[in-house]
Amino acid sequence: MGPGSVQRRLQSGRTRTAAHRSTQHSTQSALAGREVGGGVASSKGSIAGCADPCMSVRAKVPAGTGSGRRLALIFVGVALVLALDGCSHFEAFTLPLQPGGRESTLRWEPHAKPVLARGGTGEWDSVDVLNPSIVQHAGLYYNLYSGFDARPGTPASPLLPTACVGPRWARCSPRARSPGRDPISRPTAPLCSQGRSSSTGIRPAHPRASAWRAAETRCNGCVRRSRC
Amino acid sequence: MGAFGGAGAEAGTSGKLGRTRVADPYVIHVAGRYYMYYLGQDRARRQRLGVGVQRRRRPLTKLRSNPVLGLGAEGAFDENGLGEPAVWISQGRYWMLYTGRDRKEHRRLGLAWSLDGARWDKMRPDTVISGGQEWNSKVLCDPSVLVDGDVVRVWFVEAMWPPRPSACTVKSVTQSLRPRVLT
Repeated sequence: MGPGSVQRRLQSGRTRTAAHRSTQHSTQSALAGREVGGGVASSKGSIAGCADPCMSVRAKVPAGTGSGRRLALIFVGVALVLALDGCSHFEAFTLPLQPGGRESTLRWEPHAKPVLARGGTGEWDSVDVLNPSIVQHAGLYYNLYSGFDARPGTPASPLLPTACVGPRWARCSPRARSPGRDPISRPTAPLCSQGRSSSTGIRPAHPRASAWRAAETRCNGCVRRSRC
Repeated sequence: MGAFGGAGAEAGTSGKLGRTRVADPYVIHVAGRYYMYYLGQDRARRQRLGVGVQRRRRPLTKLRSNPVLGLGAEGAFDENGLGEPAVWISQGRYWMLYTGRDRKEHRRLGLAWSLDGARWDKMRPDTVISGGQEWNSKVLCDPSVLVDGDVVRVWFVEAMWPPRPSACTVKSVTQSLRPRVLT
């Protein structure tokens, strides 16, 4: 039930009770933070400063009677609630302009072979490695990626963005300073798996942040031992 | 992603993009603020790319004019949907690699650029990156970018198609930017 239905009911001249029920429902939806559709504006059009997300719904409000005025007030109130609810998360902005905007083009130099292949039979990433996310920290490159082993309970379609198994891997070798040139070593178990704690003690409540800390700890230890 | 918190990128309660689903967040830090590019899906299940900004501890504020990148024309490599944006700054511009899906659901990497991060232009079709071999010619996706001076390193996924049995691997590309005229 969205504001469009409010408009239709008002325009069709149905009873105040029906329209009031509609506005009540819309108000509840708005207050509950639910999806309420295109938004509502006053009878004169859209609310200033609130463009696309709160597109106007031009309603013909009955005028000249007491009930009509009350209905108009209710309608305007609902419009304000919905408009403020929707507009609060939208804004016109741009990112800062960057200096040195000379024209340029790109030249790709792809590596012939993958830098990270699937794991061996039985390993946690034996079927797929995907969703790479590379970060540089303390002179090392970390690849937080997803793995898939095709066991029950793991994602059935790892190509979907919802198939994240969890952040993973830190390459714990000084050679990692030259990314993409050597095969990547991987841990024996994922740091995070389907919201469960792994042997590394990752808290399921914050899998990404926790996994990152674990990866950092693990890598630092490996660096100190000069191995991984 | 930690700066946005768990609820920062909820599906929109209003607006066109991200009305029903958001995914594929990619965060950059510019001038003290975090900007997140993401996939947004509307009720028509169109998947396009949008951007939002994080201010203090408020929820993500989305760009009113989202999407910043829309579907490609009929027959284009991204006519069915866009996703997995990866944005970086180089040579005074914002650059974006993204995954495009064509009518057959094949995936390739497209390139776009912008001066202000909000208005984007897609590069010519011949800049689309696809696999050079039979086994990976159908799926390239998931770009991740690191910038080191004029060198931009990109990691992405190559995969067989159809995806089962799958053979996803992560591959890297070193990209150099040379000052030439854009045509």
